[in-house]
Amino acid sequence: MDNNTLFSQESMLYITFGLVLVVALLVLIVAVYVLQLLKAFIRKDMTEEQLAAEQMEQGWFARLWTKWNSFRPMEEEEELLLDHDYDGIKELDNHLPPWWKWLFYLTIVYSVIYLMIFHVFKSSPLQEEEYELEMTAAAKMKQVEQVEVVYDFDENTVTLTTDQTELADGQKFFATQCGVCHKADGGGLAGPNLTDKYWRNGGDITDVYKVIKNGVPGTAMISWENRLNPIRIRNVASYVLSLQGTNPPNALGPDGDLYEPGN
Amino acid sequence: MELEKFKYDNKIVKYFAIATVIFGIIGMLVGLMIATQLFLPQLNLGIPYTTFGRIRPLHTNAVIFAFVGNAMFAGVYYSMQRLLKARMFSDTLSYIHFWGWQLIILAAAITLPLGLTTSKEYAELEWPIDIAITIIWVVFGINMIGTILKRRERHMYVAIWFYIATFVTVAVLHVVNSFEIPVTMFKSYSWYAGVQDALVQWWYGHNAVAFFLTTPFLGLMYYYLPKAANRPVYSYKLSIIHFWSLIFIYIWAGPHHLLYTSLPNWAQSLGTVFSIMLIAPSWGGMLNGLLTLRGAWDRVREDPVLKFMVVAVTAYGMATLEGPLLSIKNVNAIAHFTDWIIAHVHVGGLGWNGFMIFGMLYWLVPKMWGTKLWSTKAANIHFWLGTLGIIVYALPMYTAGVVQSLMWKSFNAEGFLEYPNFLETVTQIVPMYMMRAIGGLLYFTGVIIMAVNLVRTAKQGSFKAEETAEAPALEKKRIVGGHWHSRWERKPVFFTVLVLIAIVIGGVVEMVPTFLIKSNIPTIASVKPYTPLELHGRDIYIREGCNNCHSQMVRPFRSETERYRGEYSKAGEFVYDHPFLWGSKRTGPDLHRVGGAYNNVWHFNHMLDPTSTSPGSIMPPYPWLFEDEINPGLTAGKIKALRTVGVPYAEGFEDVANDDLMKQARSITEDLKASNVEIIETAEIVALIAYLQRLGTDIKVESTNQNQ
Repeated sequence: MDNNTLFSQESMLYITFGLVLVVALLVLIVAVYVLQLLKAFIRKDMTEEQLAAEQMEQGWFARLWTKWNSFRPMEEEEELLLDHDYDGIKELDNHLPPWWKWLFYLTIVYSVIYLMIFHVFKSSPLQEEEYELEMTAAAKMKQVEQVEVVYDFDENTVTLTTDQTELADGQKFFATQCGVCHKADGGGLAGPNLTDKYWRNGGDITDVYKVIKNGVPGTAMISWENRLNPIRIRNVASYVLSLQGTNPPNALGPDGDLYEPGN
Repeated sequence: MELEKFKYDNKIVKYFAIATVIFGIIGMLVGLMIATQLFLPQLNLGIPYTTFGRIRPLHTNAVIFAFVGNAMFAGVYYSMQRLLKARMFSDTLSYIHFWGWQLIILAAAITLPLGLTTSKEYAELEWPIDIAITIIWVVFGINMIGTILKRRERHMYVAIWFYIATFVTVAVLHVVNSFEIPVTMFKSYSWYAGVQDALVQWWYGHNAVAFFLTTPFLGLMYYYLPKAANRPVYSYKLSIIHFWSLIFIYIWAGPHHLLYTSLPNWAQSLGTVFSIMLIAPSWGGMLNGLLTLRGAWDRVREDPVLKFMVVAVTAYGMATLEGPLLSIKNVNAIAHFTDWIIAHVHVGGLGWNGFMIFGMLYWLVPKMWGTKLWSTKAANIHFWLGTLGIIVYALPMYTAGVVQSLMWKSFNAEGFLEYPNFLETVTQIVPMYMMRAIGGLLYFTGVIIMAVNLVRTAKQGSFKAEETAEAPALEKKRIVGGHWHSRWERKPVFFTVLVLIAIVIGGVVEMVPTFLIKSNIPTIASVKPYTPLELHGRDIYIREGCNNCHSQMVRPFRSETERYRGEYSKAGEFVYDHPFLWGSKRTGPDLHRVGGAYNNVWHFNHMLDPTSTSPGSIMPPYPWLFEDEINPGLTAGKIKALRTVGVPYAEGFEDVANDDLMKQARSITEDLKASNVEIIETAEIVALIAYLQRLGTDIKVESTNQNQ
């Protein structure tokens, strides 16, 4: 069943696309603007006739701009001058640019609708509920994945796996997740060294399996029971034990009790 | 009517202009240094005074209050005298203002590297300096209002409206946000705690941008742009509408800095919608500026002054569209805490403020020295270097922001974080940090060229300290009628009161309920005040400016509760946090759930050399924390101060607090000893470890209790 798409991932995708669009749009606006500027600077080199010719035929943007702002022609400017004069600065009595006015109204309408949706009709989730939805969607996906599988071992009867694909699976998982604390080579960082014979909670496969499954209360070692299926835990535990005696460089010193296999 | 003769004071303008250039160079140099530290941590130099956490506030304070501040005063003192046809109210006040402001800057330059900071962004300066700022700001205000009252121009021009709004609002913002209880001469705790402190701080922080970086510069634009272009201002009506809507709406938008945090939802929503409604009022300013150039675009090609101003106004339009977009929840979820925000503020800072200042200086200096600009070519080179600098700065930061954010949020098909190691997401964007520094360097080079150009210009001219002018005095008669707004323009005191009302409403509506209504911050019984040792540790955290790179706010996203392994942050967890330390940028990981996540020796090693525990880390080492000791003599004072602002320490606890402190310190040093690390109990690192191990753990006690 193709149910690999998480709710959050899907919405993330939309958000990302939206963002990319916004950024692209902004970049485009800047690019057009810079081009305009450059063009303006190049025009310096034009002759009078060339300039006059260009001014005769206005581009579509200039026409649109004039229309949206409902500009009064430059020749009528005199009529618009207010009789004030501040240190030589005069002001024109132009009306508000219509598109600007509509933009303002639009944002006000948006705001009213926004507040209605979230706080009056409560038809869109606020952040706490949004979080619950996100978590539920993630959990649901997990359930689908783990449906009806019966495992023939538990934490007391688990045995080492020596299957190479399974060990490789364990290694891959260890490198990305466990390595954050135990270092990718198992030599230990925030968490203890896993490559020597000293263990805080025992060094048998069942011990390691239990630590991964249940976590160690009071430490940073969390429980992975809800995150990994038993096979995966066995793979990781087996991989960890395969690191015994590898002596990686800069490993942490002994921590915990000496454990000899077979005891 | 008899003409009165009077003189404009140009000397004060010259003073402020020189200070602008000097502090521009210093502030940007510090900026270059911290930008470089992010890819070359060795540049932290291994000493306290030059680490990123301490000099990042030095950069922001220097460019905002020293560079932009001095430029604002230069521009205001020049234009205000002429717009009101009057010399400044009092020369004495002018020079108290000037020297007072420079002393404040000097005090900032000394105290910030020493680690004397309140931790609140753009309000880091400690309480004695806060008082000095208040006094000097009032001096500026009296001088300004005095000049307005003795004006020879009946109506106040739009630039003056913006200057009035600047004075009034910055005064209110600064005083309210600086409420703090002194502990020692250079240490205080914010009066507010947690969510409330955050709300007040970002009401301040956001409106410092609005009323220190925006409104005064709109005022300057309304004077210098039409002057330089020799064109009438496009629309008086637009001036009125965008002025009042801008100052009224701006003040509400502060909570957009706190989206998806523990701030109540209703306050967040107000922040979002008022940000959206801010687009048009902001663009009103841009439009009135650009449309004033209608019919003068041929001059824009020739004149570097106008070129700078056109790009400045355009950058303003860009930044004020981007700001509201960033205030939309979904966009904010991605951009917040990342370098996107750094890009955003630098488009505003370098583009709008910087370029307006450059344009203004290129216009003012030849004018005041009675000469022509020494080299128009050099000014043009400065223009292109600056423009290129902004682009090379901003684009990598946008990329870095989006890339890192997506890495933080990315899950693999099995439901695990794709990049569980935060460091991976940092090393990915280090090349972007390098490019950003190059952009900054280009911009900085332009400023140096400008400095040379301005000095040469001054040298070839001769400075006129006093400029004579004449105008008739205002007749003492009642004038009635006219446009409703022009009536207001004749009544400066009435106008100022209206401004005050307009800017107070938003703040009151958002703050009063958050302070008074309990349900806004649901209490959590298991959350207890910090122990004495943790308090010392917290103060070290503040001193070193850890909050400049680390947030303490796990947002309600699956990607964050997974990464930081705990619940998302709740409002009730911060009730004893004076000040709040949520942070605004994650150069390093969030720390709110770091308590108990690592053992003591890990923290010990990590602080001594971050790369020993996290290879490739760009965090600087903190060797002095291992040699310096906390001063237990201060414990009692800290506890008493916090009790005054409402932290429930038992009466008399301050007398026995140090016993508790030593006990906790000993438990940590003994634990360290078990890992073969020896350190004395009073070493600062012990206190810091105590604080870090406490962070975000109280709520875990609660959940354990519930499970029983």
